[in-house]
Amino acid sequence: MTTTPARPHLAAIAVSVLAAGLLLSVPVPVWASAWQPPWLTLVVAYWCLAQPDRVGVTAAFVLGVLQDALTGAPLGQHALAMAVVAAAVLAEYQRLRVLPLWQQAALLAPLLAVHQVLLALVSGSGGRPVSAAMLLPALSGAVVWPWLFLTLRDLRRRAGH
Amino acid sequence: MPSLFRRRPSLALRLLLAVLAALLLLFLDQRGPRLVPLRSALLTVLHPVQQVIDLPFRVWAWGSDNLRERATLREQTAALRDQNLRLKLRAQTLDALQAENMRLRALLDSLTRTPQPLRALIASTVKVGLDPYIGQIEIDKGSLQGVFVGQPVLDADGVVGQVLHVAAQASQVLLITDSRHAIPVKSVRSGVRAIATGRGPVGSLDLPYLPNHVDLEEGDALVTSGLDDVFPPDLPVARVSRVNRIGEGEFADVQATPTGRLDRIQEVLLVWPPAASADPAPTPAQSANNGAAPVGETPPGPAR
Repeated sequence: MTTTPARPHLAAIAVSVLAAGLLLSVPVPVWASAWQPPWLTLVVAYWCLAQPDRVGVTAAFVLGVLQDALTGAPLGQHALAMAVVAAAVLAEYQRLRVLPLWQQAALLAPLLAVHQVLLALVSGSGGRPVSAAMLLPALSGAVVWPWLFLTLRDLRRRAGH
Repeated sequence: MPSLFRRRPSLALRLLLAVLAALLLLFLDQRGPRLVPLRSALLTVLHPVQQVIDLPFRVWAWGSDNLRERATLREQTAALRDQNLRLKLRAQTLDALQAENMRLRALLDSLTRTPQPLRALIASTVKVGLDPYIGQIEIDKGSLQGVFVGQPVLDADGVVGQVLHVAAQASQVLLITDSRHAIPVKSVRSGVRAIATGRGPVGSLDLPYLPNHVDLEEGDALVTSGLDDVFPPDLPVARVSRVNRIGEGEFADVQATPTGRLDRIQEVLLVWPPAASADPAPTPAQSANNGAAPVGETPPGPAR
């Protein structure tokens, strides 16, 4: 893994981040928008798992700030939540990697719940309404994790490794 | 292998730094306008990214535009021609009314501002970054086109919101239904003035702190009162959808539905308010005459 060239991976990372942005902005009906998985966070979590030397807390922070700027959220909201998720994945990536996908998803669900709670805390402190429905993306995120993992692994292998 | 032992403290440290940086950003962002330049810079840098993300949507729209059937197109053209005719007719009567209005004002020798036509610019919404919990949209015009923070944004049916952040080629618009937004309105029928606050991302509006005997009924049209110096007066905002006078306490529970179609905005109008040279301060009487003034045809404004 140490001999892999950096460029293809950067390309794969950029493509997946753009795809996450695309998925975030697909117009969905109002009822479905509450279920929308945190795509960018999932993508960051995948790259922390697959390429812990390249994507870490700093990358998660920067991408989070960019997402905040794009969505008009308070600056730092997603940066905070995504940095926490990235750090948790990085701390355990060696163990997480060898688990079957459904177990990864099961472990990811509480982590994503923490992510959503952090987002909700920031929203609440800014005076926005907070509801329990904000936890739904943690569930949907865990459900889509296996597919996302396989897709991104395929992308990573095609990119040259 | 030594990296194994170096990783953990540095991971904790990096997390700590990231969390502190995020909290600092959040603090600065909520406490004032200090981060406005940073946000503008980020949005400007992200503009190409947004274009890339938006590309599939535009291709889709372009494709479905091109693949539309002839019959549909003819139907649409007919409908548009019909609408155009009716609007032209209305514009003619409006011209006549405006002329009459000017005459009457001249007769009254009033010092009021004569209503000037609004300068407007059409912007399209960009389909990037719609947070379901934030009532906000993104449009494709920015400071290069003269957009400014606080600028009123309308669509064909009514007020949409106001500009919140501006970048070079894009800006973000806070919708009137966002819980952070409030807009001063008045009822066309009774002249009652109120503040309409948002209730959620694309929900309805609240009209809080109105007395139980307030002269509002379901179906009343609410227009901007112009008292805020942000929105020009007399733009349609909402229609009263519920008036509940039996609520606990002495306030009526009044809700309104926006006339603009906030959940499916394609194109919006950015409006430059007429440069009011003589900007009259709102008179104290205006806040007190709730429910007293029948408005009818009279143009509102600081003259009354």
